[in-house]
Amino acid sequence: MLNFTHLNAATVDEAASLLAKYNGQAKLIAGGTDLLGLLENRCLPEDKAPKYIINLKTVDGLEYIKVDGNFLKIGALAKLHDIAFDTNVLKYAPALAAAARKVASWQIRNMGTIAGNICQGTRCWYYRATDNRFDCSRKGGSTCFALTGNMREHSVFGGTKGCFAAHPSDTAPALVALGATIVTNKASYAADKFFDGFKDTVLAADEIVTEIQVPAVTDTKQAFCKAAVRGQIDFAMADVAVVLKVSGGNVSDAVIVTNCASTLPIRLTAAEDAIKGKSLTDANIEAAAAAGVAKAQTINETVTYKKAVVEGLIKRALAACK
Amino acid sequence: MYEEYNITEPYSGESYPQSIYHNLKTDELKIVGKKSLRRVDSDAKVTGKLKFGDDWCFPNQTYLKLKRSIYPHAKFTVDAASVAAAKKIPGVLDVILPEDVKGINVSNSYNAVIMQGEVFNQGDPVCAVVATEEAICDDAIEAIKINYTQLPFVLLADDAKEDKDKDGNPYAVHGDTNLAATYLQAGGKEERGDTAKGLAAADKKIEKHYATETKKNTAIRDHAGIEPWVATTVWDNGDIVVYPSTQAPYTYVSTIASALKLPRSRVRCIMGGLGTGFGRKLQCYRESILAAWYTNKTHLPCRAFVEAEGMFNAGGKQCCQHHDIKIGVKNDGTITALVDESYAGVGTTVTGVTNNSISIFDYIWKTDNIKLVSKDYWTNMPYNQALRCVQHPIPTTFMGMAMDEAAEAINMNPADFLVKNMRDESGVGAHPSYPKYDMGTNAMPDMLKELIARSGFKNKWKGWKTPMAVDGSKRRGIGIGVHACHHGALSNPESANIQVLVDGSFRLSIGSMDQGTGSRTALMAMAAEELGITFDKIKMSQLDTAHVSESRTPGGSTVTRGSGTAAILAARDAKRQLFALAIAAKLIDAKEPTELEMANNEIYVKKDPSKKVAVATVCGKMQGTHGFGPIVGYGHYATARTTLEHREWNCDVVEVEVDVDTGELKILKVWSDCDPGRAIFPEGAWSQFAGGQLLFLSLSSYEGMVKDLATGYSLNADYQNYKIATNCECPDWDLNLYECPDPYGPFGAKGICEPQSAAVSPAIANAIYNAIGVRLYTTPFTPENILEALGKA
Repeated sequence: MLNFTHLNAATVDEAASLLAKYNGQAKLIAGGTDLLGLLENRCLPEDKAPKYIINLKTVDGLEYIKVDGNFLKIGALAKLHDIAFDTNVLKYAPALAAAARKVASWQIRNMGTIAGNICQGTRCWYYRATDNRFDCSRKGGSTCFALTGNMREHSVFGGTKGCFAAHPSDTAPALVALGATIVTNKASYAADKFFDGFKDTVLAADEIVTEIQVPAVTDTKQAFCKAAVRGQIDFAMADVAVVLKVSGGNVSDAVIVTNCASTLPIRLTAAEDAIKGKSLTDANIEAAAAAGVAKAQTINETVTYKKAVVEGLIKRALAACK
Repeated sequence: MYEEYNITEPYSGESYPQSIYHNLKTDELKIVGKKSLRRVDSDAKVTGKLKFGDDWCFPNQTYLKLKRSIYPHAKFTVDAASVAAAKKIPGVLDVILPEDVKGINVSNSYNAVIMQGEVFNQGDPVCAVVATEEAICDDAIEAIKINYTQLPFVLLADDAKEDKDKDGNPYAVHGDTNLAATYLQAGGKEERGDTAKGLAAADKKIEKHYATETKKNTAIRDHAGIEPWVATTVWDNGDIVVYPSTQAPYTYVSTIASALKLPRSRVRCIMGGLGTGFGRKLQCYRESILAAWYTNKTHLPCRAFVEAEGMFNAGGKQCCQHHDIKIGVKNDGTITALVDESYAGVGTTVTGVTNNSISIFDYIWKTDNIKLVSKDYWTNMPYNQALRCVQHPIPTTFMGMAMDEAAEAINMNPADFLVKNMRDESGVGAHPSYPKYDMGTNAMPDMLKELIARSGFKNKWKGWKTPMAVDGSKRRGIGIGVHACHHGALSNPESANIQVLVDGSFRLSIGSMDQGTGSRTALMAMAAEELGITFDKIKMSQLDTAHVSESRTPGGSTVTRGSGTAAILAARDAKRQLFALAIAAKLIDAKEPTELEMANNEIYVKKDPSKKVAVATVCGKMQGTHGFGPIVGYGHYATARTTLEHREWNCDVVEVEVDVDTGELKILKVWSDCDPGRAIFPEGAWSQFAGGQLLFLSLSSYEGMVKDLATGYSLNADYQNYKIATNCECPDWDLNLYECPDPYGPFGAKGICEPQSAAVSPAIANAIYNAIGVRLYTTPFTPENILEALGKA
């Protein structure tokens, strides 16, 4: 374990000021399910490893899940398990509830927070190699080792700045599909503008997620599907989240988002366009799924299977909306 | 009620104890085989009171950790300035350099306790640190810098067998060639019968290549046991006392004594609990030798601890295997020839992979013509070790897949094909490759038929490439597989002693460890049954090599048979002495011990059971001034084991669901039969059976360590990325202990777990084929491999 100084923050403002004070040398911790592994295995180079850990668990009042006006509002520190079984989440955002329920194990869901889940770092096995074995481009090095190595866990939808590490969050594609807003101490971001394929999120060094807002509407059909080698305990091979509006038997609007097979959650607009205006027949679903992965790339032969997985999940998710 | 113990020399001049009650029905026994038996250490385990290797703690304890190579092959020197800096870290006591321990090897010169200037595998040790705390060891290890000169290396057997490195340049890991060993089987010959003629006479032929290794997936398999390697060494008035987590306490004694050039009498091993073994803890590891070396030098207690990543990288593995299988079949299902030519990459130090892998084919498949040859090649990979069996499960998987294909070639129901082709002989002289051997009992023919009927296989299996059911992209399929191997057999030597205590209770000491299997309960049950006492009157002490004579390493599911027999012999010896005491003390009306027997905590006269005396009364005479000494019963059991070749049998039917869109595999239902001889401790036997099934299901369906081909670095040396089946992957079990008591086993028992669980793997493979209509030729059966087979990747 790297040595660091552990600081408890009483408020978001205090945490933000500590982040600003230790500019670039501090990291936030809440559930700790992501950060502790990174530290314990000394994955980061010494100059990029945090010297200060700022604890958010000591900040009160950020664990809520409530309906406020037209929005379902979820505090940044709400536990994944609570989200998975909250009646309002199940009513307004069943895709998010399903995604939260499919994160890892019961123990992880009881510790992990929604903000932590969307802000977590990549699981790329080159990036996460013990003792910073691979000085990869994501850490400031010159190359992505996966390109000449084993990309089984990586993106099939291209790289970001030459890095092909997949984004691991299960809840992120659901939030993008739901048109959620990510609120921080400084700004609000549409969920589809929040993620960054190279540095996980667009957050500034002293910026902290405080709330997730999801439109509280019930006129959509939603589905979230995850495929993993051993079921949900594993990080996903791929996720797909779908939010549809259906009128007169036809899909009037569609948002289809995939993650874990891409460097960040991405909308599969070709699939959306293919299903809009059409009914959810098997043939239409298959055509939409095929369109969704038409632009998937196979950079390295060890990753090709993920294209099929995403296609299969689009079909499964659309079929679930019938 | 008991038969006389009879050592015969049945067939070969060697001594095999036979007929230890194997003919008794379970309802004639009072403790053995009873479903009411409960695991004796379960309370201590669930309340955390049982001491495992990591729980021992001593005053002034020090901690030792290794610094390991990050390269698979390199020359190295340890940077002296960084060592000096590390030594200045508060709490650092010593840095052990290669030259400090030169000449101390685990087995051969490629396996020094600390490598001498050259590493051959990622994880090889380059130096060690001793400190007052484990975390300080980590700081010192990070502070020490190593100067590496990287050298060529080879990871894949396909490259190694061409004597090339990963880039195709000429290279051998050791010496001039990577060929490490060549093996022949079928009675020590390359061929029995004439396979060329057999293939020529076949109506259909199968010729396929199967592998656990591909360029995408180096896929060597670990055990991933949760309890790490740990050993604490303590100086005790000139003796080195070791408290390890090991299956092999006597190996610890012999290895440490040999490495430190001490007489064995100066090294002693004490153990409490052991959390998993399964072959992972068969050796005395480098860390333990170094800890003993440090304790011997400083007289300070020293704990050596290996973290999970070190276990993954430096521990032994089930190595990769390639099998070129040819099968000839007649249209009536007769196998006219079976040929397997295999090769393996075996790592840097231990051969024997392919020798073990091919041996089982001749055990199980009925054919007049068989050819089994194999070659091991050195690679810059972790060494070969017997994890979850030697190397039998993978070839069982591949041959089961090939036989399914052979059945399809002649359009024969796969269950009928297996029934026709199982070896069905038993006893002496029945096997053509082993005419002088006793093959023991053979439950397979009847057991297989029972399984087929119980699972409803023949009704559920709808035909080749015809799934049981289709639901959208999901296909349900069913498959069948068989397995046999010679594990769980007698082992040697095994020792036990039983102290008779003055209150009429008994303390059993055994030389083999309970690895969590329940063997402690089974051994106590057998000893109590033989003694004729109730189960509450016997206790078992923790293992101490100073108290029990040399015993064999418990591996290969041998404890029940080997230690069980020793326990029975010790009980008989104790009983004989007790009878003599009862007579000498005039507590019972008899002249010779042979006139007496024990039951229900009483000694009675066989011819007149109304004449009896309580065991506790007799034992009371051992104290005070009665003039009778203490009683200790000894049991020691050994065989040369060259002509006893008993088989253990297992057959499985598996139902799976495969999503042909995503490649996801769900193993829904497993019906399995195995032959435990007699289940001594039924609850433990069932859990061993289920655990074994889960481990082998995991081995073929999920697991594989992935090496980065460019650097040789392990990419998934952790429990998240190395995917071993969890309880969530447990299917619906329908497990049947098909008891067929064995004449050589104590109470008819055979070993259980390892030898009776591997059939699940070929059954899964064949069920996948039934579901999706496409065969797999590599393991593991991951979504990636399934999608590739479907042409979708």
